[in-house]
Amino acid sequence: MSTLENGTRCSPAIHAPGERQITFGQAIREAIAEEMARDENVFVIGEDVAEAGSVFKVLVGLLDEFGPERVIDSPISEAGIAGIGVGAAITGMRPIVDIMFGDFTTLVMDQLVNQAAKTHYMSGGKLTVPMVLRTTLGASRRSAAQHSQSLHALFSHIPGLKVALPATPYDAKGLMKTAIRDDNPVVIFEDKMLYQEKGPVPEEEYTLPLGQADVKRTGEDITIIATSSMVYVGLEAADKLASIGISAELIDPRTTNPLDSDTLIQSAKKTSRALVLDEGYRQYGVTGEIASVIADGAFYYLDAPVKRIGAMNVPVPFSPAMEDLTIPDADDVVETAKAMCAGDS
Amino acid sequence: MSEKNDSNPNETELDTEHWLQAYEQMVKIRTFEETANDLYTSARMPGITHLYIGEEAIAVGICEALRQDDYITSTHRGHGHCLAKGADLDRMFAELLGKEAGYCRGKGGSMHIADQETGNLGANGIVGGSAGIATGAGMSIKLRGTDQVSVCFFGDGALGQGLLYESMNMAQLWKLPVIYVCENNQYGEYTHNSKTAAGSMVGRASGFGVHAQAIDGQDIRTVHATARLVIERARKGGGPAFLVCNTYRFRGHHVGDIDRPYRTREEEAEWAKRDPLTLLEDWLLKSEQAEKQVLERIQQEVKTAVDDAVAFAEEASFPSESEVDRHVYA
Amino acid sequence: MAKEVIMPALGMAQDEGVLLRWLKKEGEMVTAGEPLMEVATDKVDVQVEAPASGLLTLVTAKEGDEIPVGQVIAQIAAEGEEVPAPQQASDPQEAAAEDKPADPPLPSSPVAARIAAEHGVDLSQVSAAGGRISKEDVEAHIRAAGSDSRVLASPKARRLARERGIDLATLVGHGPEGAVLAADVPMVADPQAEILPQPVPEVAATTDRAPAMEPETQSVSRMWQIMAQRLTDSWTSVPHFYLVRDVSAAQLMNWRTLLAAGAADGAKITYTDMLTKLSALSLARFPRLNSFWDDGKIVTNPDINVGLAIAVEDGLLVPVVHSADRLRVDEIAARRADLVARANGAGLLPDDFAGGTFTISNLGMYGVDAFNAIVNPPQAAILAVGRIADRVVAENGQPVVRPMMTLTLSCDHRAVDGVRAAQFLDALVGMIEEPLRAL
Repeated sequence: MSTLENGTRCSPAIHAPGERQITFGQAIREAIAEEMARDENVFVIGEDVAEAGSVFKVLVGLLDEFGPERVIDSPISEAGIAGIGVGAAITGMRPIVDIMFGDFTTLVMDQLVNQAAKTHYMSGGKLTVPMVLRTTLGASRRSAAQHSQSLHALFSHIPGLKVALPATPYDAKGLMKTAIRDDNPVVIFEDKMLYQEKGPVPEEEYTLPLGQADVKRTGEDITIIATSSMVYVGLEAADKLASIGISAELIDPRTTNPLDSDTLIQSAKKTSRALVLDEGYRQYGVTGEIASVIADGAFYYLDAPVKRIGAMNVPVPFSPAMEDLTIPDADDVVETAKAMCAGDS
Repeated sequence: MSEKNDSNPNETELDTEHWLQAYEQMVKIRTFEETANDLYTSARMPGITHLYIGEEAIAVGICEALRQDDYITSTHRGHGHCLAKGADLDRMFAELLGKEAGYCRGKGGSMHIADQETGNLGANGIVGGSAGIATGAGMSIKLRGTDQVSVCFFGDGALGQGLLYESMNMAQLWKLPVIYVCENNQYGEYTHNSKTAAGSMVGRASGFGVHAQAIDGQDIRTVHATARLVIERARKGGGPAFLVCNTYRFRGHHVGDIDRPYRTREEEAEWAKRDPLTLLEDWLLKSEQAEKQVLERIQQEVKTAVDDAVAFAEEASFPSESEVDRHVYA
Repeated sequence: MAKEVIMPALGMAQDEGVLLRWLKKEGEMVTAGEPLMEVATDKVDVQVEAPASGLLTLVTAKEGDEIPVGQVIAQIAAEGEEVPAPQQASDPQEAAAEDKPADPPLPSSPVAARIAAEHGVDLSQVSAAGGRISKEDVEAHIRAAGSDSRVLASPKARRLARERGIDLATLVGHGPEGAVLAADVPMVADPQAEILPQPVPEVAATTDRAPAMEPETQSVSRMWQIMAQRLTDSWTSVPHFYLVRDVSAAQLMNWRTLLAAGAADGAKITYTDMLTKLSALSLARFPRLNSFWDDGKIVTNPDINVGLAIAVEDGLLVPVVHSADRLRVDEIAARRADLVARANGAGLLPDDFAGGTFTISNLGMYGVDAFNAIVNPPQAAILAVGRIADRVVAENGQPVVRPMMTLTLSCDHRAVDGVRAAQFLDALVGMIEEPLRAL
C-alpha cells in the first residue's frame, strides 16, 4: 500500500489550510472530550488532571464537563495509576492514564511492559487491555535531564503495545480518538513544545488509523523520515534543501508501533536516499529500527547509506548553551542530506 | 514469624453440604498439585511450577465467600486460586502441558492462567504485579456502579513491592471494593520474611486506614468467616481490607526446590501438624458432619477426576505454529 | 594434465599485460570458457576466459602485476588430478626448463592458507614475521598488495550496473571514496540508436546538480588515461590542418529511407553507417588519406578500416569497421550496432580496435553544427560530422532551404597535403549529394 501516489492521504495540517485552526493541546482535549461523551467507559486518571486541568493545561474544562468520577486526580503514584488503568481496562473500562512527563514512564514499566502488553497474549486472547497512556516527550524547555527525554523507543520495542507520536493538531486528534477506541494498550507521546502550535482541524468527526504514515511533503532526491516535533525540523530542512536544488520528501510515520514500513520503503525506493530523524537518543533509538527496515526493504534502490539523526547520547543538560546542542536541528539535517546527495549528478 | 491472630470468629457460616464442597475444593487443589509435581518429576510437563500445597484453606476459604462475577488476581503460585474460583481441571492441566485446549491456548502456562468466565483476571509472574490490576478492577466496579468485589492474592514476598502501597493508598482514598489477601507462607522464594519485612505487616495497611487483620490461614473456618465479613463490607461501599493469612508453604519454592537448605525439617514437621486439610477433616468428623467414608469417597472421586484431566491434557494437541503470533494484539 | 594459464598477447606489439583482477580465487573450481581474469592492455581491458575446467591453483600473479605475455601465471588442475606443490617443481631439470623460483615456501597456518586462497594470494609471495606464515602475515600482504580490489558502489548502482550489463570496474565513481553511484552508471545504449549514445564525459561532469562546494578531484580510469595520453601525443606532434565543407544531406536522407525500407526487421541504418561507406569509397579513390606518417616515410594502408569514435562514461573508444569499402551499408550498420552495444557493456575485444586507418566522429545527434577533431594516430585524417539542419542556401541565384550538414576533415600535414585532402573531401561531398550514383 502506498501513500505516495495518493495525495488525499496527506494531512490537512499541511495540505488544507483555511480550515478551523486550533492548537495541538485543544485537539487532544477535544478528542478526549468527544470520546468521553461517546463512551461512558472512558475515564481519565492522573496527577493534576482534574482541577488543574493537567500541568500543560491541556485538559482544562474536562472536570466540569464529566465530573470527578471520570476525571480523577491521583496521588503521585505512576505505577499505581498505570496498574489501575490495566485492571480497569481488563474489566470493561477504557481508561486514559496521564503520565505528566515521559521521563516518568520508567516508573510504569512493569505495568505497561509485563502487564498491559502481555495480558491479551498470555490469556490466549481472552482478556483485552483497551487503555491509553498519554505522556510527553521533547527537550528544549530548559527542564534538564529528568523532564526532557523522548523515551518512545522503549515502548516501541514491546510487542503488544502500540505507540503514537502525533506531530500536528490534526494528527493528534485523529490518533487520540483511534487510540481510545483501540482494544490494545496505546502509548501516545505528545511533544510539550507543540501544545500551543495551531493547525487546521475539521469540525466534523474523523479518526486516523494507527500504522499509517503520512507524507508531509513530496520530493524526489531524498526521503526524510521524521517523528513528532522533528517533522517541523525536517520540513524546515526540506525548505533549505530546496533552495540548493535538493528535493526532499518528508514522511511522518505517526506511529512507531505499528510501523507503516511499506510507505517508508516505497519512498526510499523512489528517492534512493533515506535520512531518519527523531528526538529520542540516537543509540538504539527508533531511528535504528526504521533505518533497518529501509535498508532491508529498499537495499537495491539505495544510492547512499541510510543515515540517522537523533538526540545526542547524553542526559539532557540544563543550560541552554548545552541543551540546544543535544537536539537535532534543521542545519544538522541539511548538512547530512547534502552529504548524502553529493556525488549525484 | 507471624502476627498475632486477632480474629477467630469460629462461626460455622456454611451448612454441612457447603463445608463438604469446600473440603472437595481443598482436596482438588492438593491432588492437582501433587499430580503436577509428579508430571514434573516424570518429565511429562515442560518448565517448572510453584505448588500451593499447605495453603489451600486460604484460596478456598476466600473464594467460597465470592460470587462468580467477583474478580480475583493471582500469583505465580496460583493453581489454588484458579481452582478455588471455579476453573476446570481439564483445561488447567492442558495449560500446564502447553496444549491448545489450555485456558490460555498454551501461551500462558502455569504462571499465567486466566479465566474471565470465573472472574480470574490472571495469575502473575511478577511478585506484587497484580496489585494495580486488582485495584483497577475495583475502580472499574466503582465506576460501573456494581456490587462486585475484587480480591488481590499475593504472598509475603510482595510486601517488598511499592506498587502494593500505591494501590492500597488509592483503594482507601476512593473506597474501592478490593480485598488484599497476603498469604504469609513465611518465605519469599528461599528467604524467610524475617530477613525481608520490617515492622508490622498489618500496620502497613492500617497506616492507610485500610481495615487490616492477621488470621490463621490454616483454618478454613477462620479464613472464610473473616472473608465474608470484609467482602460484604466492601460490597456495601465500606472500602478495602487487608488480610494477613498466616500459613506455610509445605513444599519448596517450586517443584525443583527439593532440598530446601534455607529451613529446618523440624520447622516443616511443626507446620505439618497444622495441615489445613487435616484440620478440616478432624473438625468435620468431630462435629459429626461427615463420616470417614464420605471424606474418602470425595478423595477418590477427586483422584479419578484429576486422572481423567491429566489423560485429557496429555492427549490434547499442541498449538499449531500459526498460533504463535496470534493475540499479540486484539 | 594441468593446463597452464598464461598472460595472453592481446594485441600487436604487446610485450606486457597488467593483471587487473582475478575473477576466480585460487582453490576455486573453474569451467572452461568462463571469465577467469581481467587483463589490461594499452588499448582495452579484457576478460580472459579459463582455458580448461578444473581447480585453479599455483597462482603466481598478483592483481596489479605487469606480466610479460606468454608467462605462466597459474595452472588449472583437472578434476582428481594431484596438484603439484610448487616445491615439487624444484626438480633441477624442470626448474631449469621452466625457470621457476626454486625457493620452497614457508609452512603456513591453516587460517593463513584459507585467507590466502580467498584473496588469491600466492603464499610463496608472502613474507613471514616468524618461521611460519600466519594470518597476520597474509593480511599484511593483502594490504600491501592492495589486492582487495573490490569496487566501491552503492547498492542501487550495483543493481543498475547488473541490469544494464555494465562492469562496475569500468566506471568512475563520484561518491564517497570514489564509490560508484547510480548517476555514474550510464544508461544502456540502445543498439538501434545512433553511434555515440553517451554524452561526452565533459558534458556529464558539468551537470552535477550538487551546489558549488569544494572542487572535486576524481580519479580516472585506465581507459581515460590512455585516451588523454594518445590525444596529447597527437595534438603536440601532429601538424593539423582542417578543411570544411557544407553539404546538402537531402539525398542522403532519401537514401536512408530507401535503405530502411529494404533493411531486415529491426535493423536501423544511421547516417554514420552511410558516411562510413561513402568515406571508405572515397578513401579507395584517394589512398593517400588512408596512409600514415611513419618517421620520415609515408605508409599507405592496404585495407580501408574505418574507426568510429564512441564516447563511453569513462573514456573514448574507437572500434573499427574493417574493410568498410567492401561491406554493404547494412553490414556496416550491423557491425556498428554490435560495437556500440559491446562498448557500453565493456565487451570489446582487442581485435575490435586493431587496424584502423581512418576515423569518423559524429556529434550531430548532440546538436553540434561543426567541430574540429584531433587526428587519431597512426592515421592521416579524421572526419568530424555535424548535425543535419535546415539552412538557407543560394541555389541558382535563389535562397532555398535545404537540409545541410558540415563536414570538417582534420589531416596530418606530414602525410597529406591540402590539395589531396580537398580532392578526397570533394569526392566524398559528391557522393553524399548523389549517393546512389556512387554505388
